[in-house]
Order: sequence, then C-alpha cells, then structure tokens
Amino acid sequence: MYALVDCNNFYASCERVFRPHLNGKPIAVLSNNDGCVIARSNEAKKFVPMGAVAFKYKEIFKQYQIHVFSSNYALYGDLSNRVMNTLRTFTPDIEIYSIDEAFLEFKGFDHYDLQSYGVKMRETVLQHVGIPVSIGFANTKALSKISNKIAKKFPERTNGSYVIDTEEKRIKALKWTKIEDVWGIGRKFSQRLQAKNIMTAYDFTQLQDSWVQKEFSIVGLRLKHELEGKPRLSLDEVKNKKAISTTRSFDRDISDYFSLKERVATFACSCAEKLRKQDSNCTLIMVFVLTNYHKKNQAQYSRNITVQLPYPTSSSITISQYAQKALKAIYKEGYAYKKAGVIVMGIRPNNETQLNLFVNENPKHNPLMKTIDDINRKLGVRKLKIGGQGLGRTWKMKQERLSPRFTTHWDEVLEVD
Amino acid sequence: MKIIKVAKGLSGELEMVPFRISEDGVYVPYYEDGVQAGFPSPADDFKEQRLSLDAKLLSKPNSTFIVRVKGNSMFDTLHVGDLLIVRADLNLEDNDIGILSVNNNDFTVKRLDKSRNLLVADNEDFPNIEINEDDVIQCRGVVKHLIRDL
Repeated sequence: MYALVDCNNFYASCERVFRPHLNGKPIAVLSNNDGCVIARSNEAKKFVPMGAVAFKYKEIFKQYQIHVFSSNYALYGDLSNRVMNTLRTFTPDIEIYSIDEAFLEFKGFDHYDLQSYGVKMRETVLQHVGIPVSIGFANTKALSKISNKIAKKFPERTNGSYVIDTEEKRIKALKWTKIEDVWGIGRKFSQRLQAKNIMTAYDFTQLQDSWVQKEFSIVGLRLKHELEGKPRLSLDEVKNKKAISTTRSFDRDISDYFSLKERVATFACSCAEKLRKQDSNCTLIMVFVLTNYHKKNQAQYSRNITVQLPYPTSSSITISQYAQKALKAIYKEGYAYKKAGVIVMGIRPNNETQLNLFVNENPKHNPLMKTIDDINRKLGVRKLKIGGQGLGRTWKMKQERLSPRFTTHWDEVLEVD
Repeated sequence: MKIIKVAKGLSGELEMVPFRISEDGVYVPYYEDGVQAGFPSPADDFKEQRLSLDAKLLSKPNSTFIVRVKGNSMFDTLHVGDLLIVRADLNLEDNDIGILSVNNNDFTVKRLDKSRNLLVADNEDFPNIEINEDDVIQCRGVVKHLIRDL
C-alpha cells in the first residue's frame, strides 16, 4: 500500500504554529519579493485567488482582515523537515515529493487497520510539529493522491485519513474526481480529454489502452493503469532533483545590462551552491528574462536560452560565466525587465561524472568552491562571493511582512510570559 | 584518514594502495592512528564519546522547540531570559510546566494543576488562569530543561 501525506495549507499552517491567535483567521503568504499570493488558509480562499498580485489586493487584504506574510522559508523548511522525519517513524519507505507532500510505502502492513494508523500518524504530526496533515491510502501512487483529496475534503467523516481498499471505493472515488484534478494530467491534456467528453477520472479509465497510449504516450497509459489499481510507479527515493532553479521578480524594473548581468550571475552562483549541497554536477543551463506583463502599456519581451556546458560542473565560476554568456545572447536593449532566472539541468551525481578527453574543469575550482562553502557556512551568511555577483546591500529581497524564524535563529525564538 | 603527498617517481611502487595522481604528485592515504613502535596506549580500547549536550537536551530534535522567557509570572522557577527546551512529544501531566494557549490567545508558560483546573503562575504576584469546561487549551509542549546564563 502507498499513502500520500499532504500538509494542509502548509505555509499558512506554519505561520500558526507559534501564534495561536491566527487560528481560524484568514492568512495569505506572498512569494519571494512579496510579489503574489502563493498560499492561503481555508478562511482566505474565498477572498483571494491563488497567484493574486499582492499590490492589486491591498484593499481586499484590509477589508477582510487577512493576515499577510512574506514567505519565511527558514521556518517552512525546518517545519517540513520535522514533519518528514516524524513520518519516517511510521514507515522506513518514504519519498519526499515536495516541501509539503510525501509518498509513503507500507510493506508488510497487511494486518494493520490503515485508516486508524493514518489517524494516529496525523495526530502525532499535529502534536509533535504542530502541522495538520491529510493522509490517503491506496495500492497505487496515483490512487493515493485521489484518496488524499477525499481525506482533505471530508475531514469530519474521514478524520483526515482515508483508505481506498475495495473496488467499490475505487470506482466511487474515480467518479468523484474531475479529470483536470488527476495527478499528472496537465491543463492541455485535460482540455483534449474534455473535448472528447471525458470528464472524470473514471471516464478516463474506461478508454481503450491502445488509444490512450497513442494519444498520450506510455506516460498516459501508466497513469490509466495506476488509476485502475495496477501499480506502475514505485517509490522514487532518489534524493536529487532533476532541475534546480533560482528565479526572482525584481522589486523594480531593470533596463541596463550590467544590473541584469549581476542578477543573473548571482542566480547562477545560487544554483551552483545548491548543486554542491547535493553533491551533483549539471551539464545544461537555461537563462530567461522577461518584462512585466502586468504593465500592458510597456513594450513586452521574453526569451530563454539553453546552453550546453563543456563538462559537468558545480563551480560557481564556470556556471556564472556561461550564464552571463547566455544572457548576452538574449538581452535586448530598451526593455524594462521585471524577472530573470537561471535553471540548471542535466543533473547527475558527482561520482557518475564523465570526464571530457580534451577540456575539463580547472582542478582548482573544486577545492576553492569547497572552501567558499565552508567559510560561508561558518559565517552563516554569504560573505564570500565571486566577482560577478552583487556585493550586497543594493539588492535585498523585499520581505516586509516576514514573521520570526522561530526555529532557526536564537534571537527570533518564541517569547512567553 | 588524511591524504598526504608522496614524491612523484614512486607511483609504480604503489599498485596495491589506493592512490590518486594529480598535477603535482601522487597522493596516498595516510592513517592518522598509525602504528606505534612503543607500548600501545592502554586507553585505546576504552575510547568513548565526549559528553554531548545535544544528546542530553535534544534527544528528540523533531519535536523539540526552544522558547525564551520574557516575563516574571513563573519566578523564581523561571527567570527572564531563560531558554526553555520544550518537548512537544510529551503529554502535559499534573504539575508539569507547559507552553500553553487558552482559546487561541498568545502562548504563555504556566504550571498545570489538574485537581484545581488551574494554570498556575509560580509567582504569587501573578494571577492563576482558571480553566472552564468550554475553554480550548493548546499545548505547544512541555518544558523539560532550561538553559540559564549566570
């Protein structure tokens, strides 16, 4: 059996852990730079749509007394780790799917009453960490996603834990699930299916295998089988990510090349640092820039470019050099840029790196990066940077509504009387 | 284990030892413990870990929170500035000190008196909090240790 454990409105719940006065109150959490709404508590959902642009909703926030926060990733990251580690005490097989979701596998739990085991997991996580979760069990991963939705949608009836363990329950659940809500079915996918009058997950499972494979490739067929209760996906315990990105909206528009170059170099270094943290190298990097599409009267431009690196690397120097070359290729003068980003791909572990016969990384980069990382870790801030990066101060993430980092900074811990 | 550098021409002699050739020489593993020529230290067999405050105070890192005292309501059990090590996995029992919230008010640190249904302030100058039938009490954790600068 698999289970999907999902934290309920995770970021909003994190804000509540140390501040009970937020219980039952509407909460919205903003993206990096306070740009748009990326998380809402249930109470805020009817007033604020996902992705709402923060400055356009100022009045709404005020009118409905919505508590608005900058994203506090130090807090969310720590609480997420605590949730995942607590889940690990219930089964050793866990795949951390995102900051607030994990797939669990239960091997040899045949004689367990999983529904009540789920309730126990839920209560434990709530007591130990303070975060409410929902748990859905089923014998495939795709079905456990649906099972989770049911647990979340009907908390009174399920106690936040639901098990799909009979044909009857499976069919009922599939008929209840709209096709666009099925895990792995994107918007385009579901539009094509809806055009053929396939409206629910159940309708999808009634299609012919051969037709599904022809239209949606083996991935679609695998999904269909998963929904039929035939396991096709196993726990993906691979720790490393397939792509790492650092992207930001700027707090003001930038037009000049040098400021943009500095930003891109900084993003590149941040990606390189993330790569080194997971002992990996990358072989491809993508750089993108775009203007502010909310300002309809301005000239609009957006472009991205992917560059192949000569050898796998995690060196900040190499990656930022190539990122700057890539930027040079796509930068156009005369536009006001609002956002840029660097994404590194083709990621593989260090120990699987293939050396190039003719060009390889300067062997000095590796120990240099290690030294930089060690020093920065010791100082707790990025004091050591490479030349292309911004030298601080000019760019600070806009975080006007940041809550205390209760669990990671001594001077921000909860104070009680 | 450390990697030390060996003179260049030696590489042919080192087949059985794991080694690494780099620009400036050949590197082989070097074992710090070494082989002693004299009498081996009689303490070697009894090597133990140093005392660890982490192991003693943070044995359950995933359910431990740190909280600072900012008021005098629990004086002189707790002083202003004390760091409390709070365990969320423990259940609040009678006479335990907990980090508690009554009806979604801010967290406060108080002692539970089950028989009298009270949250007790150890400092007599401060009022106790009565718990009524329909009050909702949330416990962030039980105060298990404290760290105090002298």
